[in-house]
Parts: sequence; structure tokens; C-alpha cells
Amino acid sequence: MVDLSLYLLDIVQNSIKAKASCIEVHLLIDSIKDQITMRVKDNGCGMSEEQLLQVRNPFYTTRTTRKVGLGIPFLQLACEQAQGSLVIDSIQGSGTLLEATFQKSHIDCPPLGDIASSVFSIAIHQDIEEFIFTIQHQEQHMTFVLSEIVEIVSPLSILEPFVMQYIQQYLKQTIIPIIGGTS
Amino acid sequence: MKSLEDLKKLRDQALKNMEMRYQVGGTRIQVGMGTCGIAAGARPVLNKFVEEIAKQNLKNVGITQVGCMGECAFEPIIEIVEQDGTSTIYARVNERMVHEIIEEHIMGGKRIQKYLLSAIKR
Repeated sequence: MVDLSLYLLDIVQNSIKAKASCIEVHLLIDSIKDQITMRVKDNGCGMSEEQLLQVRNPFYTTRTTRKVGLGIPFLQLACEQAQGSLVIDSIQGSGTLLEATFQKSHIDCPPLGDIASSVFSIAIHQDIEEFIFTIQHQEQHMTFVLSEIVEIVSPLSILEPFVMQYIQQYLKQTIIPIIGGTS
Repeated sequence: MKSLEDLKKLRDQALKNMEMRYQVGGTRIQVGMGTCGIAAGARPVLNKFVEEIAKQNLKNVGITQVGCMGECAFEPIIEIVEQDGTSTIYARVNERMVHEIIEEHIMGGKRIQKYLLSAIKR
């Protein structure tokens, strides 16, 4: 993974696979604390205690096509390389909370990357019902609520080409000024 | 600056000139978005497909995000499933190939042999 936006997209795919109907993503960029926090919360199927112990193991996976599962180990490595940490909390049957932190000024801290693109890719995923994305950088912040968009465009689907294109441009215009020129 | 008000106007406009938009079935483009796909560059490919479909105003094409397809070494992989169920798998897709795939395969109905997974794997 090249940047943080790709880690985010990858982690959210786990929530989708856990059949979450509501996914909340919170991205906090704090220059004073010198910290980047990425929080992903879902109401999916969660993990058992046994699975929770195994989840950081790259040779553990629930998929059947391969014997490795690298999503979580990749993220953990990235966090630890940048003086941060990865916390995963899960209750079977009710959801998972994941929090990844990075030291912002650390030389190995991944760049933020194209956050808008990742948020867009999540928003147009066919299996998601509700998706709330919040980004905060000092005094600037924005919140994207998928159900608001769905309501506005109803009875049309958000998968209509013109709606998708609109969301794509909307996210770019609102997110890029907040994170500044970091791409 | 795009605001949500504009989106409402766009919706009303679209509703007005809605002909027979919703037909059952149609072509489905599936993009592999597992860890392998994302690391190999599936996201820009997905976004490019959305842009191209909107640009060409294709009415019967849907985009689906799927997990790992089991051929991680050949990601980004996309599968095009036609209305009649025929499926075509393209491998190592990049942004530049998207335009070609849309034009020749989706609009022209012709498979692009050199991009097929079966051709690349050989």
C-alpha cells in the first residue's frame, strides 16, 4: 500500500465483508499532537475472541482463495513503523472498532493520499446502506453522510452515472481543501 | 463549488428526461477490490470506469465491487458479465486500458484478446 487512503479502503472492505450495514470512518489529523488517527467502526458480524487473537497473523484468513490475509498485518506494520499503534476491538454479533494511529511527522508515516477517491469508492459500494465519513484537520472539518445523498436523489439510485460523478466531484472539492496539498 | 442543492436540481432534470432507463439486467463490470487488488491499483481503475460510463452516458452498465478473485498476481482484475451470462476476465488493468475496454468491449461488443487473463497468464 502506497498511502493511507489505500489502507483505509482496504480496512473498510473488511467491514463490508462482515456484512455491516453502517460504517463510520473518522479521520483526525492533529498537527499539535503530531498525530493522525484513523477510526473505522462498523456494525457487522464482529469477531470471536479467538479470531481477535488471530487477526494480526498474516497466515490467518477467512477467505478460501488463498492461505494468507495481509490487510491487517500491513496496516499494523505501517502504524508501528511510524511510532503509532493499531487497536482492534470487536464484539461478536455487534460490530468492530478499529483505530490506527500514526506519528504525523515521522519519516515513515505514509502520506494521506487520495482520501476523496477512497471515500468515493466506499460510498458507491453496492452492499453499503449507511456510510458516515468525518475528516478533521485543526479547525476545518467535513462530514459526508451517504443516506443524505440517497434521500436527495431518491427515487433515483446513487449508482446512476450522473449521481456517481457528482459525488466524486463533490468529495474532491470538499476534502482536498481540508487536507491541503498533501496528495 | 458543488453543493447539495445542485444535486437536487440535477435529480429533477434527470427525472424529467427519464425514458426507459431501468431495464432489467444489462452489463455488469466487476472490479476486484481485495487487499491484493487495492495494492495493485484497483481504485483508480474503478474510478475511471465510473467517469467513462458517465461521460459516454451508458445506460445499461453497472459497476460492482467484489473481493479477491484468487489470482492476486494478475491484479487489478475486472470481470465483465454480459446480460446473457457470458463472462470475460481482463487482468493487469490500468487506467489507460479502461477507455479502450469501454469503447471496444462494452460499446463495440468485441473482446480485447491481448488484455484477457487467459492470454496474460500463458
